[in-house]
Amino acid sequence: MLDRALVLTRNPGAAYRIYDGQATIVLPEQARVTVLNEVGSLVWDRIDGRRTLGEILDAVGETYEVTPEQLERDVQEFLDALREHRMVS
Amino acid sequence: MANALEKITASNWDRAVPMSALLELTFVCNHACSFCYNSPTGQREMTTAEVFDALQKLADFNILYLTLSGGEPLVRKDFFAIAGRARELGFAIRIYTNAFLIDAAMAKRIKDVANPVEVEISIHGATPATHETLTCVPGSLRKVIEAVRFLRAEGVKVVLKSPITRANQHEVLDLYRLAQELGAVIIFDPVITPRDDGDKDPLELMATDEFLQTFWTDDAYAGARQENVPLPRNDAPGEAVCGTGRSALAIDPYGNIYPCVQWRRSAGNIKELTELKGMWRTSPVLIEVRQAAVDMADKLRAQKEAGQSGGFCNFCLGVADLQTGDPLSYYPQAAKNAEFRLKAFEAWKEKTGKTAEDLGETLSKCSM
Repeated sequence: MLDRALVLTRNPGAAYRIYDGQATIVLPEQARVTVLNEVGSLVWDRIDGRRTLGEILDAVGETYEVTPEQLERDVQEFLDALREHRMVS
Repeated sequence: MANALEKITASNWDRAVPMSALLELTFVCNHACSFCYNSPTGQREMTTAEVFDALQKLADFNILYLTLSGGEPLVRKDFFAIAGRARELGFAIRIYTNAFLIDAAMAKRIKDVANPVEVEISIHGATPATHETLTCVPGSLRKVIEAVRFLRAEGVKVVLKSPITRANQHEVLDLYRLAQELGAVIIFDPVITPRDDGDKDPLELMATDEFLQTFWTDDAYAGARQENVPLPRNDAPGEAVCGTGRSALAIDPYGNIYPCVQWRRSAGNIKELTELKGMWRTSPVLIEVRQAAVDMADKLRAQKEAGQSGGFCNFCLGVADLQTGDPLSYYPQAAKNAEFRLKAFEAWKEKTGKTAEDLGETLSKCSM
């Protein structure tokens, strides 16, 4: 179960732009460039240290026709991957 | 199968959506390299506020990679204010410097403020005598080596850039070993270019033909040239030969916008524009430059099909225009390097019985 009150922060070293709806993220300390899919990019773009996870989920849910359960599962998987790569905290 | 990054990069390239910009912060330099391409005109360089404004316009234009260059960018007293602003605006930063001012404290500041993807440092010899003959600054090689160590200690990637000249060609292998010892990447450029004002004096320093042949054919240089075998071009019809006016742009210290760092055809001045998108789409200079890049690829492809050296040519339209007055005209450095690359490729084919298809990759295009 996702904690909807959680407020996430992007790795401050990350530089990114969105091309074709896909976030292209550069992490200098890891010499890594990551391209997110469109749903991931919507989430990433809204992680700003202020919005709650609930607000981000609601925004993504307004854009894509998915059930709330499916959306939570997808976002959970996505956030796990971001955390593993130290892209968010 | 292309990965997601390759797909985005290719899509942006096809649609001429630039991902990179090079911003020359100043033409002032604390070195006096005899082959430097910069040609200051004496105009007033951009103020801090004007640079900040330019950065905002580049960010609004969705530029991801920003190279802070010069002259020597670190001589600007507001360099860290600019780098900090660039980072706030979300750029992935590269810094191109001669490293003369980088001590331990500055290396830490570079890491903390700019958090660069890489710092690119010019190096011209593996011995003080050679490096300093070209930079005209005593002690400058020691400063480069120390700077690389300080930056590496901070975890910053360092890319050494070394134009090959007849003054340092005998030290290329030593330079390659030095880079390895320092934990740095090194990129050699066998092409010396005229100055931006057309002055051809630097061409007298070009590496000798004998050396260039050795560089491209001798296995001892495989690491230095970053190719075991010279890779052929593989431009499809309609593809551009390079990313000029397409994948990147360059801006000089006066605010003039160019299709790339090497081709100084001004498409406007960033100080006079409210945004870059309209200019990028409608500038007659950029439209012409993009078409020239496609025309040149066609020309090289025809050469390749005829078994000539164009198929192995890393062609620069900017150098061609500067040197011959025609951006589609072969210039001697391109021709020589392409001929030696073709010979080396033919020798490899003969020795191994393999073909270009067996290599599995083709020559990377210059995207600045």
